[in-house]
Amino acid sequence: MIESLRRRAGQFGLDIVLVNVWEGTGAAEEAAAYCERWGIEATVLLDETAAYARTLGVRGVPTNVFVNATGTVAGFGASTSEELLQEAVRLEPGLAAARQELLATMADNPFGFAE
Amino acid sequence: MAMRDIGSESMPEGAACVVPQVRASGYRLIAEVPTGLGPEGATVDRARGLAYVTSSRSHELTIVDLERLEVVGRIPVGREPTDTTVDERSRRLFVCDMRSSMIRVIDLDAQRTIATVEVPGYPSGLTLDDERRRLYCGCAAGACLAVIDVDALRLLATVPCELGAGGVAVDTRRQRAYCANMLMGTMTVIDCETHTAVDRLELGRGPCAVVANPASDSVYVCNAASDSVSRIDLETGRVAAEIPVGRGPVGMNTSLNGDRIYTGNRAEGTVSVIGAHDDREWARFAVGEAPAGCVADPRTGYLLVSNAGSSTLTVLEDRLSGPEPAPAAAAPAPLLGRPLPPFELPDLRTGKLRHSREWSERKYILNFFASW
Repeated sequence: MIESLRRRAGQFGLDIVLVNVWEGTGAAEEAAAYCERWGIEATVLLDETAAYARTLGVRGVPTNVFVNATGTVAGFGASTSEELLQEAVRLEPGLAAARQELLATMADNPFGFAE
Repeated sequence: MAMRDIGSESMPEGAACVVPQVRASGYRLIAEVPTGLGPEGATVDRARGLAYVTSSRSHELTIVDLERLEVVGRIPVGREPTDTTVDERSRRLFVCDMRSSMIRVIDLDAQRTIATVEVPGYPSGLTLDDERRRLYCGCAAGACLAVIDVDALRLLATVPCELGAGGVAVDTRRQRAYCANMLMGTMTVIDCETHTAVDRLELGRGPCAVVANPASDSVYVCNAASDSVSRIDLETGRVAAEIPVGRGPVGMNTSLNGDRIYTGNRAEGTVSVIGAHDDREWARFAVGEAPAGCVADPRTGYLLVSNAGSSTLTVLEDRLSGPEPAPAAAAPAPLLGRPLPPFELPDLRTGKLRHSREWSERKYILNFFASW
Protein backbone atom coordinates (compact mmCIF):
# COMPACT_ATOMS: atom_id res chain seq x y z
CA MET A 1 0.00 0.00 0.00
CA ILE A 2 2.90 2.32 0.68
CA GLU A 3 3.71 2.82 -3.00
CA SER A 4 0.08 3.70 -3.77
CA LEU A 5 0.08 6.07 -0.81
CA ARG A 6 3.34 7.63 -1.92
CA ARG A 7 2.15 8.26 -5.46
CA ARG A 8 -1.12 9.78 -4.29
CA ALA A 9 0.53 11.76 -1.50
CA GLY A 10 3.11 13.08 -3.94
CA GLN A 11 0.33 15.07 -5.62
CA PHE A 12 0.14 17.11 -2.41
CA GLY A 13 3.87 17.35 -1.88
CA LEU A 14 3.93 14.69 0.88
CA ASP A 15 6.87 12.32 0.42
CA ILE A 16 7.46 8.85 1.84
CA VAL A 17 11.07 7.81 2.42
CA LEU A 18 11.91 4.23 3.36
CA VAL A 19 14.73 3.61 5.84
CA ASN A 20 16.15 0.11 5.95
CA VAL A 21 17.41 -1.06 9.35
CA TRP A 22 18.56 -4.22 11.21
CA GLU A 23 19.35 -6.29 8.13
CA GLY A 24 22.48 -7.81 9.65
CA THR A 25 24.74 -8.48 6.71
CA GLY A 26 24.36 -7.41 3.08
CA ALA A 27 21.83 -4.69 3.86
CA ALA A 28 22.00 -3.12 0.39
CA GLU A 29 21.34 -6.44 -1.35
CA GLU A 30 18.51 -7.44 1.00
CA ALA A 31 16.86 -4.03 0.79
CA ALA A 32 17.18 -3.96 -3.00
CA ALA A 33 15.63 -7.42 -3.34
CA TYR A 34 12.79 -6.41 -1.04
CA CYS A 35 12.06 -3.26 -3.08
CA GLU A 36 12.04 -5.21 -6.30
CA ARG A 37 9.70 -7.85 -4.88
CA TRP A 38 7.19 -5.25 -3.66
CA GLY A 39 7.56 -2.79 -6.57
CA ILE A 40 8.89 -0.01 -4.35
CA GLU A 41 10.18 3.05 -6.20
CA ALA A 42 10.40 5.39 -3.21
CA THR A 43 13.72 6.79 -1.98
CA VAL A 44 15.33 4.14 0.23
CA LEU A 45 18.04 5.06 2.74
CA LEU A 46 20.25 2.61 4.63
CA ASP A 47 20.60 2.89 8.40
CA GLU A 48 22.81 -0.17 8.73
CA THR A 49 24.01 0.36 12.28
CA ALA A 50 20.51 1.45 13.42
CA ALA A 51 22.16 4.55 14.93
CA TYR A 52 19.56 6.88 13.41
CA ALA A 53 16.65 4.58 14.33
CA ARG A 54 17.83 4.64 17.95
CA THR A 55 18.11 8.44 17.92
CA LEU A 56 14.40 8.56 17.08
CA GLY A 57 13.41 5.91 19.64
CA VAL A 58 12.47 3.43 16.91
CA ARG A 59 12.50 -0.02 18.58
CA GLY A 60 10.97 -2.21 15.92
CA VAL A 61 9.72 -2.56 12.36
CA PRO A 62 7.66 -1.39 10.67
CA THR A 63 7.60 2.02 12.38
CA ASN A 64 6.50 5.23 10.69
CA VAL A 65 7.67 8.72 11.71
CA PHE A 66 5.52 11.59 10.45
CA VAL A 67 7.29 14.94 9.91
CA ASN A 68 5.48 18.19 9.22
CA ALA A 69 6.67 21.12 7.13
CA THR A 70 8.38 22.79 10.10
CA GLY A 71 10.53 19.68 10.63
CA THR A 72 8.63 18.63 13.77
CA VAL A 73 7.74 15.01 14.56
CA ALA A 74 3.94 15.07 14.24
CA GLY A 75 3.26 11.33 14.61
CA PHE A 76 5.03 8.07 15.48
CA GLY A 77 4.28 4.35 15.17
CA ALA A 78 1.30 3.54 12.96
CA SER A 79 2.32 0.01 11.99
CA THR A 80 -1.04 -1.14 10.63
CA SER A 81 -2.28 0.06 7.23
CA GLU A 82 -5.31 1.77 8.80
CA GLU A 83 -3.17 3.73 11.25
CA LEU A 84 -0.66 4.69 8.53
CA LEU A 85 -3.48 6.02 6.38
CA GLN A 86 -5.09 7.82 9.31
CA GLU A 87 -1.82 9.54 10.28
CA ALA A 88 -1.03 10.38 6.66
CA VAL A 89 -4.41 12.11 6.33
CA ARG A 90 -3.76 13.98 9.57
CA LEU A 91 -0.43 15.18 8.18
CA GLU A 92 -1.89 16.01 4.77
CA PRO A 93 -5.68 16.52 4.95
CA GLY A 94 -5.85 16.70 1.15
CA LEU A 95 -5.44 12.91 1.18
CA ALA A 96 -8.83 12.41 2.86
CA ALA A 97 -10.59 12.33 -0.52
CA ALA A 98 -8.35 9.42 -1.58
CA ARG A 99 -9.08 7.38 1.54
CA GLN A 100 -11.45 4.83 -0.06
CA GLU A 101 -9.19 4.33 -3.04
CA LEU A 102 -6.17 3.72 -0.78
CA LEU A 103 -8.10 1.36 1.51
CA ALA A 104 -8.99 -0.66 -1.58
CA THR A 105 -5.28 -1.13 -2.40
CA MET A 106 -4.90 -2.80 1.00
CA ALA A 107 -7.36 -5.46 -0.11
CA ASP A 108 -5.20 -6.03 -3.18
CA ASN A 109 -2.17 -6.70 -1.03
CA PRO A 110 -3.03 -9.80 1.00
CA PHE A 111 0.22 -9.53 2.87
CA GLY A 112 -1.37 -6.72 4.79
CA PHE A 113 1.76 -5.02 6.04
CA ALA A 114 2.11 -1.28 5.63
CA GLU A 115 4.49 -1.37 2.71
CA MET B 1 5.66 0.73 32.19
CA ALA B 2 9.41 0.53 32.50
CA MET B 3 11.55 2.04 29.76
CA ARG B 4 14.85 0.59 28.68
CA ASP B 5 17.50 2.58 26.94
CA ILE B 6 19.79 0.03 25.35
CA GLY B 7 22.17 2.75 24.26
CA SER B 8 23.03 3.66 27.86
CA GLU B 9 24.23 0.20 28.84
CA SER B 10 27.81 -0.55 27.98
CA MET B 11 29.38 -3.96 27.50
CA PRO B 12 32.51 -4.45 29.58
CA GLU B 13 35.46 -6.12 27.86
CA GLY B 14 35.01 -9.88 27.67
CA ALA B 15 31.48 -9.80 29.09
CA ALA B 16 29.21 -12.58 27.89
CA CYS B 17 26.07 -10.50 28.22
CA VAL B 18 24.72 -7.14 29.29
CA VAL B 19 23.07 -7.28 32.72
CA PRO B 20 20.55 -4.46 33.01
CA GLN B 21 19.49 -2.84 36.24
CA VAL B 22 16.30 -3.92 38.00
CA ARG B 23 13.38 -1.89 36.64
CA ALA B 24 9.70 -1.51 37.55
CA SER B 25 7.71 -4.06 39.55
CA GLY B 26 5.79 -5.87 36.81
CA TYR B 27 8.87 -7.64 35.57
CA ARG B 28 12.59 -7.95 36.18
CA LEU B 29 15.12 -7.97 33.35
CA ILE B 30 17.70 -10.64 34.13
CA ALA B 31 19.97 -10.50 31.10
CA GLU B 32 20.27 -9.68 27.44
CA VAL B 33 22.54 -12.24 25.75
CA PRO B 34 24.07 -11.45 22.34
CA THR B 35 23.25 -14.24 19.87
CA GLY B 36 23.78 -14.81 16.13
CA LEU B 37 22.06 -12.40 13.72
CA GLY B 38 18.32 -11.95 13.57
CA PRO B 39 17.08 -14.41 16.21
CA GLU B 40 13.45 -15.27 15.50
CA GLY B 41 12.70 -17.67 18.35
CA ALA B 42 14.07 -20.29 20.70
CA THR B 43 13.34 -23.74 22.07
CA VAL B 44 14.59 -25.18 25.36
CA ASP B 45 16.29 -28.53 26.03
CA ARG B 46 15.07 -28.88 29.57
CA ALA B 47 17.33 -31.80 30.49
CA ARG B 48 20.51 -29.85 29.75
CA GLY B 49 19.27 -26.36 30.54
CA LEU B 50 20.13 -25.06 27.08
CA ALA B 51 18.20 -22.74 24.78
CA TYR B 52 18.54 -23.20 21.02
CA VAL B 53 18.02 -19.78 19.43
CA THR B 54 17.15 -19.64 15.73
CA SER B 55 19.58 -17.01 14.43
CA SER B 56 17.93 -16.67 11.05
CA ARG B 57 20.34 -14.32 9.33
CA SER B 58 23.45 -16.15 10.56
CA HIS B 59 21.92 -19.46 9.40
CA GLU B 60 22.66 -21.10 12.72
CA LEU B 61 21.22 -22.22 16.02
CA THR B 62 22.95 -20.31 18.79
CA ILE B 63 23.16 -22.41 21.96
CA VAL B 64 22.70 -20.46 25.20
CA ASP B 65 23.39 -21.95 28.63
CA LEU B 66 20.43 -20.83 30.75
CA GLU B 67 22.32 -21.14 34.02
CA ARG B 68 25.39 -19.14 32.97
CA LEU B 69 23.43 -16.93 30.56
CA GLU B 70 26.05 -17.13 27.85
CA VAL B 71 26.54 -18.60 24.40
CA VAL B 72 28.20 -22.01 24.61
CA GLY B 73 27.97 -23.21 21.01
CA ARG B 74 26.58 -22.86 17.50
CA ILE B 75 25.12 -25.37 15.08
CA PRO B 76 25.14 -24.38 11.40
CA VAL B 77 21.80 -25.04 9.70
CA GLY B 78 20.35 -24.30 6.26
CA ARG B 79 19.40 -20.95 4.76
CA GLU B 80 16.96 -18.98 6.87
CA PRO B 81 15.93 -21.31 9.69
CA THR B 82 12.49 -20.43 11.07
CA ASP B 83 10.60 -22.46 13.68
CA THR B 84 11.98 -25.16 16.00
CA THR B 85 10.61 -27.75 18.39
CA VAL B 86 12.15 -30.34 20.73
CA ASP B 87 11.13 -33.98 21.12
CA GLU B 88 12.39 -34.81 24.61
CA ARG B 89 11.56 -38.47 24.26
CA SER B 90 14.02 -39.04 21.41
CA ARG B 91 16.38 -36.19 22.42
CA ARG B 92 16.05 -34.51 19.03
CA LEU B 93 15.40 -30.97 17.89
CA PHE B 94 13.55 -30.18 14.67
CA VAL B 95 14.13 -26.95 12.71
CA CYS B 96 12.49 -25.69 9.52
CA ASP B 97 15.08 -24.64 6.97
CA MET B 98 12.75 -22.34 5.12
CA ARG B 99 14.77 -21.64 1.98
CA SER B 100 16.01 -25.22 1.71
CA SER B 101 12.46 -26.65 2.02
CA MET B 102 13.37 -29.23 4.57
CA ILE B 103 13.07 -30.06 8.24
CA ARG B 104 16.46 -30.64 9.79
CA VAL B 105 16.80 -33.14 12.64
CA ILE B 106 19.42 -32.40 15.29
CA ASP B 107 20.62 -34.79 17.97
CA LEU B 108 20.61 -32.80 21.23
CA ASP B 109 23.43 -34.74 22.81
CA ALA B 110 25.76 -34.86 19.79
CA GLN B 111 24.58 -31.33 18.88
CA ARG B 112 24.68 -31.93 15.16
CA THR B 113 22.38 -32.70 12.23
CA ILE B 114 21.57 -36.38 11.89
CA ALA B 115 18.82 -36.35 9.24
CA THR B 116 16.61 -34.17 7.06
CA VAL B 117 13.03 -34.56 5.83
CA GLU B 118 11.98 -32.95 2.59
CA VAL B 119 8.72 -30.98 2.74
CA PRO B 120 6.75 -28.78 0.31
CA GLY B 121 7.85 -25.15 -0.27
CA TYR B 122 8.96 -22.80 2.50
CA PRO B 123 8.32 -24.63 5.79
CA SER B 124 7.76 -21.90 8.36
CA GLY B 125 5.83 -23.27 11.37
CA LEU B 126 6.28 -26.44 13.39
CA THR B 127 4.53 -28.21 16.24
CA LEU B 128 4.88 -31.63 17.84
CA ASP B 129 2.16 -33.94 19.11
CA ASP B 130 4.43 -35.84 21.45
CA GLU B 131 1.91 -38.57 22.44
CA ARG B 132 0.79 -39.40 18.90
CA ARG B 133 4.36 -39.01 17.58
CA ARG B 134 3.40 -36.57 14.84
CA LEU B 135 5.17 -33.45 13.66
CA TYR B 136 3.05 -30.84 11.87
CA CYS B 137 4.67 -28.28 9.60
CA GLY B 138 3.01 -25.31 7.88
CA CYS B 139 4.50 -24.86 4.39
CA ALA B 140 4.00 -21.29 3.22
CA ALA B 141 4.59 -21.60 -0.53
CA GLY B 142 3.30 -25.16 -0.67
CA ALA B 143 0.10 -23.76 0.94
CA CYS B 144 -0.30 -26.94 2.95
CA LEU B 145 0.26 -28.66 6.27
CA ALA B 146 2.83 -31.48 6.16
CA VAL B 147 2.24 -34.33 8.61
CA ILE B 148 5.36 -36.28 9.58
CA ASP B 149 5.87 -39.48 11.57
CA VAL B 150 8.49 -38.18 13.99
CA ASP B 151 10.06 -41.58 14.75
CA ALA B 152 10.22 -42.95 11.20
CA LEU B 153 10.95 -39.43 9.86
CA ARG B 154 8.52 -40.07 7.06
CA LEU B 155 6.09 -37.64 5.42
CA LEU B 156 2.64 -39.15 6.03
CA ALA B 157 0.37 -36.62 4.34
CA THR B 158 0.03 -33.07 3.08
CA VAL B 159 -3.25 -31.32 3.79
CA PRO B 160 -4.18 -28.38 1.53
CA CYS B 161 -4.35 -25.06 3.43
CA GLU B 162 -3.87 -21.59 1.91
CA LEU B 163 -0.98 -19.34 0.88
CA GLY B 164 1.36 -18.48 3.70
CA ALA B 165 0.46 -21.59 5.75
CA GLY B 166 2.86 -21.41 8.67
CA GLY B 167 2.16 -21.29 12.39
CA VAL B 168 0.39 -24.41 13.60
CA ALA B 169 -0.84 -25.85 16.92
CA VAL B 170 -2.65 -29.05 17.86
CA ASP B 171 -5.65 -29.64 20.12
CA THR B 172 -4.33 -33.02 21.19
CA ARG B 173 -7.52 -34.00 22.98
CA ARG B 174 -9.79 -33.53 20.00
CA GLN B 175 -7.05 -34.31 17.47
CA ARG B 176 -7.49 -31.12 15.47
CA ALA B 177 -4.67 -29.04 14.01
CA TYR B 178 -4.97 -25.27 13.53
CA CYS B 179 -2.84 -23.78 10.76
CA ALA B 180 -2.63 -20.01 10.14
CA ASN B 181 -2.47 -18.87 6.51
CA MET B 182 -0.51 -15.65 6.82
CA LEU B 183 -1.13 -14.21 3.37
CA MET B 184 -4.88 -14.85 3.46
CA GLY B 185 -5.79 -13.90 7.03
CA THR B 186 -7.45 -17.26 7.66
CA MET B 187 -7.00 -20.43 9.67
CA THR B 188 -7.45 -23.95 8.31
CA VAL B 189 -8.74 -26.50 10.82
CA ILE B 190 -7.62 -30.06 10.14
CA ASP B 191 -8.82 -33.43 11.39
CA CYS B 192 -5.61 -35.22 12.47
CA GLU B 193 -7.09 -38.66 11.99
CA THR B 194 -8.32 -38.29 8.44
CA HIS B 195 -5.79 -35.60 7.41
CA THR B 196 -8.52 -33.47 5.88
CA ALA B 197 -9.47 -29.82 6.31
CA VAL B 198 -12.77 -29.57 8.19
CA ASP B 199 -13.18 -25.85 8.77
CA ARG B 200 -11.87 -22.41 7.83
CA LEU B 201 -11.88 -19.41 10.18
CA GLU B 202 -11.50 -15.70 9.41
CA LEU B 203 -8.78 -14.03 11.45
CA GLY B 204 -7.07 -10.61 11.50
CA ARG B 205 -4.39 -9.63 8.95
CA GLY B 206 -1.03 -11.38 8.77
CA PRO B 207 -1.76 -14.23 11.22
CA CYS B 208 1.50 -15.95 12.08
CA ALA B 209 2.35 -17.64 15.38
CA VAL B 210 -0.22 -20.10 16.76
CA VAL B 211 -0.20 -21.71 20.18
CA ALA B 212 -2.51 -24.17 21.95
CA ASN B 213 -3.34 -23.58 25.62
CA PRO B 214 -5.08 -26.53 27.31
CA ALA B 215 -5.47 -24.45 30.50
CA SER B 216 -8.01 -22.22 28.73
CA ASP B 217 -9.08 -24.87 26.18
CA SER B 218 -8.16 -22.41 23.44
CA VAL B 219 -5.83 -21.81 20.53
CA TYR B 220 -4.36 -18.33 20.14
CA VAL B 221 -3.03 -16.74 16.97
CA CYS B 222 -1.34 -13.36 16.64
CA ASN B 223 -2.34 -11.11 13.76
CA ALA B 224 0.87 -9.28 12.93
CA ALA B 225 -0.73 -6.65 10.68
CA SER B 226 -3.79 -5.99 12.87
CA ASP B 227 -1.93 -5.63 16.19
CA SER B 228 -4.21 -8.20 17.84
CA VAL B 229 -4.49 -11.78 19.07
CA SER B 230 -7.45 -14.01 18.13
CA ARG B 231 -8.56 -16.63 20.63
CA ILE B 232 -10.33 -19.71 19.28
CA ASP B 233 -12.51 -21.55 21.78
CA LEU B 234 -11.81 -25.24 21.16
CA GLU B 235 -15.21 -26.37 22.44
CA THR B 236 -17.15 -24.27 19.94
CA GLY B 237 -14.43 -24.14 17.28
CA ARG B 238 -15.17 -20.40 16.83
CA VAL B 239 -13.15 -17.21 17.32
CA ALA B 240 -14.26 -16.11 20.78
CA ALA B 241 -12.20 -12.91 21.16
CA GLU B 242 -9.87 -10.52 19.37
CA ILE B 243 -7.54 -8.91 21.89
CA PRO B 244 -5.60 -5.71 21.06
CA VAL B 245 -1.86 -5.95 21.86
CA GLY B 246 1.30 -4.02 20.95
CA ARG B 247 2.41 -3.19 17.40
CA GLY B 248 3.35 -6.06 15.10
CA PRO B 249 2.85 -9.21 17.23
CA VAL B 250 4.78 -11.92 15.36
CA GLY B 251 5.71 -14.47 18.06
CA MET B 252 3.69 -15.94 20.87
CA ASN B 253 3.79 -18.54 23.64
CA THR B 254 2.08 -19.55 26.86
CA SER B 255 3.35 -19.28 30.43
CA LEU B 256 4.27 -22.57 32.09
CA ASN B 257 0.93 -23.05 33.80
CA GLY B 258 -1.07 -21.59 30.91
CA ASP B 259 -2.59 -18.71 32.89
CA ARG B 260 -1.21 -16.10 30.50
CA ILE B 261 0.01 -15.66 26.91
CA TYR B 262 3.01 -13.62 25.76
CA THR B 263 3.41 -11.93 22.36
CA GLY B 264 6.64 -10.53 20.89
CA ASN B 265 5.69 -7.17 19.35
CA ARG B 266 8.17 -6.76 16.53
CA ALA B 267 7.25 -3.19 15.61
CA GLU B 268 7.69 -1.61 19.05
CA GLY B 269 10.20 -3.63 21.08
CA THR B 270 7.77 -4.93 23.72
CA VAL B 271 6.13 -8.12 24.96
CA SER B 272 2.38 -8.06 25.71
CA VAL B 273 1.03 -10.23 28.52
CA ILE B 274 -2.55 -11.46 28.03
CA GLY B 275 -4.66 -13.15 30.70
CA ALA B 276 -5.77 -16.57 29.48
CA HIS B 277 -9.02 -16.40 31.45
CA ASP B 278 -10.01 -12.75 30.95
CA ASP B 279 -8.93 -11.99 27.34
CA ARG B 280 -7.26 -8.78 28.48
CA GLU B 281 -3.80 -7.35 27.95
CA TRP B 282 -2.38 -7.18 31.46
CA ALA B 283 0.84 -5.32 30.76
CA ARG B 284 3.56 -4.60 28.26
CA PHE B 285 7.24 -5.26 29.00
CA ALA B 286 10.05 -3.40 27.19
CA VAL B 287 12.59 -5.83 25.74
CA GLY B 288 15.18 -5.64 22.91
CA GLU B 289 14.70 -4.30 19.37
CA ALA B 290 12.19 -6.03 17.07
CA PRO B 291 11.31 -8.94 19.38
CA ALA B 292 9.83 -12.00 17.69
CA GLY B 293 9.42 -15.44 19.29
CA CYS B 294 9.30 -16.06 23.01
CA VAL B 295 9.32 -19.15 25.21
CA ALA B 296 9.11 -19.78 28.96
CA ASP B 297 12.11 -21.67 30.38
CA PRO B 298 10.53 -24.86 31.80
CA ARG B 299 13.03 -24.89 34.66
CA THR B 300 12.53 -21.34 35.97
CA GLY B 301 9.50 -19.90 34.20
CA TYR B 302 11.66 -17.01 32.96
CA LEU B 303 10.61 -15.66 29.59
CA LEU B 304 13.21 -15.90 26.81
CA VAL B 305 12.55 -13.31 24.08
CA SER B 306 14.41 -13.41 20.75
CA ASN B 307 15.08 -9.87 19.52
CA ALA B 308 15.58 -10.00 15.76
CA GLY B 309 16.68 -6.36 15.58
CA SER B 310 19.24 -6.17 18.39
CA SER B 311 20.33 -9.80 17.79
CA THR B 312 20.00 -10.67 21.46
CA LEU B 313 18.02 -12.95 23.74
CA THR B 314 16.24 -11.13 26.59
CA VAL B 315 15.76 -13.17 29.76
CA LEU B 316 13.12 -11.73 32.09
CA GLU B 317 11.15 -12.67 35.17
CA ASP B 318 7.43 -11.96 34.93
CA ARG B 319 6.25 -10.84 38.39
CA LEU B 320 2.65 -10.05 37.50
CA SER B 321 -0.13 -11.64 39.51
CA GLY B 322 -2.82 -10.08 37.35
CA PRO B 323 -3.54 -7.03 35.19
CA GLU B 324 -1.56 -3.88 35.97
CA PRO B 325 -3.75 -1.09 37.36
CA ALA B 326 -2.98 1.36 34.55
CA PRO B 327 -3.94 0.23 31.03
CA ALA B 328 -1.06 -1.24 29.05
CA ALA B 329 0.30 1.14 26.46
CA ALA B 330 3.37 1.56 24.36
CA ALA B 331 5.88 4.08 25.67
CA PRO B 332 5.11 7.52 24.24
CA ALA B 333 7.45 8.43 21.42
CA PRO B 334 10.10 10.62 23.02
CA LEU B 335 10.35 12.97 20.04
CA LEU B 336 6.66 13.64 19.46
CA GLY B 337 6.23 17.40 19.10
CA ARG B 338 10.02 17.97 18.92
CA PRO B 339 12.24 18.74 15.94
CA LEU B 340 13.31 15.70 13.96
CA PRO B 341 17.04 15.12 14.51
CA PRO B 342 18.89 15.59 11.19
CA PHE B 343 19.94 12.51 9.25
CA GLU B 344 22.66 11.82 6.71
CA LEU B 345 22.26 8.33 5.28
CA PRO B 346 23.34 6.60 2.06
CA ASP B 347 20.79 6.24 -0.71
CA LEU B 348 20.30 2.56 -1.63
CA ARG B 349 20.22 3.19 -5.36
CA THR B 350 22.97 5.80 -5.83
CA GLY B 351 25.16 5.14 -2.80
CA LYS B 352 25.31 8.92 -2.21
CA LEU B 353 24.62 10.46 1.19
CA ARG B 354 21.22 12.11 1.49
CA HIS B 355 20.67 14.77 4.14
CA SER B 356 17.41 15.65 5.84
CA ARG B 357 17.84 19.24 4.67
CA GLU B 358 16.74 18.00 1.21
CA TRP B 359 13.29 17.60 2.76
CA SER B 360 13.18 20.87 4.68
CA GLU B 361 9.83 22.63 4.46
CA ARG B 362 8.25 19.44 3.12
CA LYS B 363 5.89 17.07 4.84
CA TYR B 364 7.13 13.49 4.79
CA ILE B 365 6.94 10.06 6.37
CA LEU B 366 10.01 8.02 7.32
CA ASN B 367 9.08 4.35 7.05
CA PHE B 368 11.55 2.19 9.00
CA PHE B 369 11.51 -1.34 7.64
CA ALA B 370 13.47 -4.57 7.39
CA SER B 371 13.21 -7.16 4.64
CA TRP B 372 12.45 -9.95 7.15
